[in-house]
Amino acid sequence: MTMHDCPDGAMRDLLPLYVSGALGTPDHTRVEAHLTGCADCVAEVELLRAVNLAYPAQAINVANITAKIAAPRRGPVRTTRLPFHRQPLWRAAASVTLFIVGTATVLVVNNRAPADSATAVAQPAAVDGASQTPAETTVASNTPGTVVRTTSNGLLSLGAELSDLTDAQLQTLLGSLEGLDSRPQADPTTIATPIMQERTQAPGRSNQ
Amino acid sequence: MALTGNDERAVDSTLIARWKAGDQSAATAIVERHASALARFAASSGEREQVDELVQDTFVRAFNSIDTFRADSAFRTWLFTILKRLILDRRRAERRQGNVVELEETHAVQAYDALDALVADETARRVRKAVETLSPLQREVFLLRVTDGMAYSDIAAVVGSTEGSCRVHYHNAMRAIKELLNDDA
Repeated sequence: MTMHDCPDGAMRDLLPLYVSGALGTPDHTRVEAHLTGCADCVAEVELLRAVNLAYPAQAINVANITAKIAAPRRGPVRTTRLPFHRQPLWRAAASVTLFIVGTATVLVVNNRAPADSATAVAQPAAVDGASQTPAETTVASNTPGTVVRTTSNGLLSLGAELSDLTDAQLQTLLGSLEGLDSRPQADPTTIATPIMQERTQAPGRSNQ
Repeated sequence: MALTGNDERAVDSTLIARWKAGDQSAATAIVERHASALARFAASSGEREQVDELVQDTFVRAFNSIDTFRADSAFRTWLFTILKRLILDRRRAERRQGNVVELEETHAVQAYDALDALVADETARRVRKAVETLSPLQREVFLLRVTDGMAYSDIAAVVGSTEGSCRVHYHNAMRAIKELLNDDA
């Protein structure tokens, strides 16, 4: 017998569920009503039943399977002890220590900053001529706790604000700055020339 | 008439809850409900030699990770998904070891010829041969729909496809089988 397809696609979609018994009562009734008047669907249902016969359910040893299934876990899930470095208390202590050490480091670095700036002011004098180590004289400033040092070659180093200096100290500082201006230029003027020449030779390359 | 999809889900949920509460007999009931369907799927996928082992592994894995099961899908669909993954893993492992046993269509037909004696009905025997000519994906979709009465959405979850695609595969498979049987007649 030649099989044809019923034009009702939605009904044909239900046929395998009808055969396997997966339909609810309303759909089951609807399919049965349709089957009374549709030879194509009756033939398809026969075919589907043959498929079910061709692929019968397989016998399985249930006891073997259930024996392998472990009982459900109850109570505390984790019973093994965590390694020392992964314990919560240790982690908290490590975090606090790290925070304290980090904060202390920042404070120490910040406190040392003024001394470094004083060294920076004094540095040109140390680099300057004759490579001698100038002797230092310490002068008390107007502000208590502020130390101003004057080197033997007339240069001044300070670790405080300019407003804290006396007139004499300011004069000394200005003298030191004038001395700095009189130094020979260290700019690499020889390098500038070839660059300028190149620019004049190839003006089109300037805008990139 | 069998239970509908929602009823089936409710029964499974109750059994799972009972097993979690310590009732070991609930596990037996769950296995009894689904084992034969899983075995049929494994056998029709060409894993006839390892059906028992595959079904057992499916349940062991499912019960070990039952807390990850969400009731978005049916429990049976979830089991089929695990089984399908186990089959794929097994084939991949065999391929790595060099035991490549690609299931060509003709091989599948020959493999089932030996089992034809088990199928008494002549029509069913012819139908089996026709089904074995389908592509593996078409065959899986077709058999999950016909023998297990699965919804297309559940089939899609098992085979890793879309609902619409599964519907097309089912109807193409049905058409191909009809044509083969018409030619055979």
